[in-house]
Amino acid sequence: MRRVVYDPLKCTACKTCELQCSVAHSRSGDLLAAIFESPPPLPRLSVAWTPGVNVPVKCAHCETAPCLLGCPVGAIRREGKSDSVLIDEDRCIGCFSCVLLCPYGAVRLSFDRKRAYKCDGCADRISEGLEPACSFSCPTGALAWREVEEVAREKTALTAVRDAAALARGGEIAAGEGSPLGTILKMREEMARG
Amino acid sequence: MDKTNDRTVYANPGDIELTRKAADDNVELVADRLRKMMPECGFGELGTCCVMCYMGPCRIDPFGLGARTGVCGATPDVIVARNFLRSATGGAASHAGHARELAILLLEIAEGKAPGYKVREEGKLLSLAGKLGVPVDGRPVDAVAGDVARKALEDFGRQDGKPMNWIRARSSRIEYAKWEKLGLIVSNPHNEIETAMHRTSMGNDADPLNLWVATLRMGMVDNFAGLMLATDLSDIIFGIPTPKVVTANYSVLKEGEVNIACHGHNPILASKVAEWADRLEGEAKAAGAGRVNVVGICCIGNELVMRYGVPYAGHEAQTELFLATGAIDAMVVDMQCIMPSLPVIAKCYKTRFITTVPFVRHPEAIHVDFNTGAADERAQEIVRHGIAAYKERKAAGIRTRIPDVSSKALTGISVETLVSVLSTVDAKDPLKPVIDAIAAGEILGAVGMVGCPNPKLRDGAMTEKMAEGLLRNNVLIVTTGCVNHILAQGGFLTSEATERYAGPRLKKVLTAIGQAAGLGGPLPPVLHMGSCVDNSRIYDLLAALAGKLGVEISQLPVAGSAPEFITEKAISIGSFFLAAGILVHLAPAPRVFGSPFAVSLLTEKLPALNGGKVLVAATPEAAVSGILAHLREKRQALGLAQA
Repeated sequence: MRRVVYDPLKCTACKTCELQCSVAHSRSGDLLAAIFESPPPLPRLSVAWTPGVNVPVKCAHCETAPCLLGCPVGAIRREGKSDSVLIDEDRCIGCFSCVLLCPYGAVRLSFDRKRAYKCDGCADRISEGLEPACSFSCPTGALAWREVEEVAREKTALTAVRDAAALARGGEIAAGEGSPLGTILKMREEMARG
Repeated sequence: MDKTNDRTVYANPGDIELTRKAADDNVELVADRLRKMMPECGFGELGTCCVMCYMGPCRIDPFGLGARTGVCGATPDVIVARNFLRSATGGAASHAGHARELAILLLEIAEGKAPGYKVREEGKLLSLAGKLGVPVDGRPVDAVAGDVARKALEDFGRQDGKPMNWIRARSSRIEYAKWEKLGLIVSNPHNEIETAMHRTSMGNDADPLNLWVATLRMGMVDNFAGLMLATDLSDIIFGIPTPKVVTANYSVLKEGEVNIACHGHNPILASKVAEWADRLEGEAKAAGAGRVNVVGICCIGNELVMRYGVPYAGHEAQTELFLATGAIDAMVVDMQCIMPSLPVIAKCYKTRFITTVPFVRHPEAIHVDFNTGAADERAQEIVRHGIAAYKERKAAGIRTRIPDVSSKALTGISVETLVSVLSTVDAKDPLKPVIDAIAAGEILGAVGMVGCPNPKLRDGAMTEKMAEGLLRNNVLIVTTGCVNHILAQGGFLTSEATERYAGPRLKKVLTAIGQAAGLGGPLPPVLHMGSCVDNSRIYDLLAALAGKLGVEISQLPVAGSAPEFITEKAISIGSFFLAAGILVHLAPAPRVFGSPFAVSLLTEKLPALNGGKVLVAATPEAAVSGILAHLREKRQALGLAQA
């Protein structure tokens, strides 16, 4: 299962993702034409900011999506093929429930259209064999179109590295004092030597 | 950039072959870097990214949800106009720099300080002197040359606000009056460049119209202080171009010879390198090479080919591929369009990369401090670098591959050449056959295709497809710059191209002229008028045609096109053609779409004011149909037959 994942350390807030998302959701699909469209196309994600970190915030297409569960008129559904949580704008009554329920703030209300809108996972692009516009356009790789399992495996590996470093530091402090941690580390070293 | 497989019949097989070799050699090329860059920043594309002060960078949300002005309050109209003016200034500064070097050289020649150079074209010097009000009767050539050079340098230092000498001497009365009315007569290129940088820095001009007028003025600087001054002085010092049939494309490189590629723009250096290549043949033979083979890349290729018939290697986007042949011993460059990737690639193939201008340097390059006072010594030093590198390259066993692709091309059609060719048809009134052909609709109109090869559009063969489309519709094409290389390699600069591509009416005219001129075939349908500074020749030709008809240039059925432009120089050249009231087609899109003011000015208001208009079309079909519609409109307004 692929998702757009983000790495806040790489985001420079150039907002190319927002721009390209707008273009992907315009009628023409072309930047130079899209800026003349009325109403203007809307970006489905936005770069949030707090000192020291930029975070491109978008719909996570949750497995148990609060917006879907909370929609009183059943306007939100999960589309099986691209595994996206989609809003059917024709059925939407503009009640805000999804906006309030979303834990990310990824759902917005369009005052022009009086409808809720959000990231549709670029279902159209994916059906054409392309990746979502935001990750495709990200110049630094802060947004990436990746297998979630693979991301998890990498995080697991990083956890091991991090814990090993912590243990080693702990060992240095504990060494020579006959502490249980020191003993365990010494035993491990001897076991490794055989 | 998902177009990599969209190879056309125009794709240069040599490009494909060398792209594969470069991949085998682990050499990264411009196309690889472009792919990594895509998609490019949309704010930049729209021109609404401002980095002129440190409250920014600011970017305006073109969809109106986010920021509508910069931190300073500048609207997108102001930001776009400022950015565009700065690009035009970059281009005009490049051309003015090029021209000023030549003016200084002419003065040095007159004062005996540049022993390697002389005035080759007395006739042009005297006629120019006449136009500039320099006395010529009974004076030695060098004295006249000195005064002409001082007139040129006076333009660069003028502080009295009076019109530039070159504008007064070289524009027709009808155009001059029009520019005067629009406030476009400039006095001093350096002042205009200074003022443009000043007014666009933090907290100055915030009137988009005032800024766009400044852009048109920058176009005037570009043409009169840059292009025209450079062409005039180059012709005087290096000779007026004459027709030359030459070989183009990769096969101009020779296995077993010392290959020296000249790249850049100003003939001051390259003409000397070409001269010393012949004179040092003995040393090359002693090193085991056949001879020294100088080839010209980019605009220096145009400058050398049309004056000396030097082999016509290729365009700017092929420079990396030329190095990847492994067969170049030295690449010597002066200024402009020299990709910083080149010295790095050169290193892989033991090619000596030589820079020669103080402000064009690279940590991986050899720097030879070229100067006109010691031109011969420096040129010998450069050629000897090539000979030494040849020995090294052979000893190291560098793998070479020179693609066996070549084409013939007729080059060097200056206005003087064209007039003399046309004189064979009508000696008394040389331009009459062309005007008659235009009036009768045999030539629907003329398009100047100029500029660069842009990797974004190269895979789609934008330039070749446009040329083919225009020729089929009986439109004559004149070209300058790297577009010449593209079309030469595509076989458009030949008599056969007339047979193959020209529409029946155009074919008839070109065949008649070709026969009368004794070419043994039709005149090619695409006329090579030189390097990018030689756009002044296109302007001269248009001014002559308009003058003959007693109309403004803006009324002629002509258009300009930069179908794959890259540089700021193309922006400033385009700005001049807009000032002259000519339709300018641009691809890729200029960075103006973020400003509704700019879009309406360039497509609606300016055409009503002086005839100048921007046409943006990124596909050859759209470009051709837009240009044809424009030509037909102009013909109708003049009451000419519709072809």
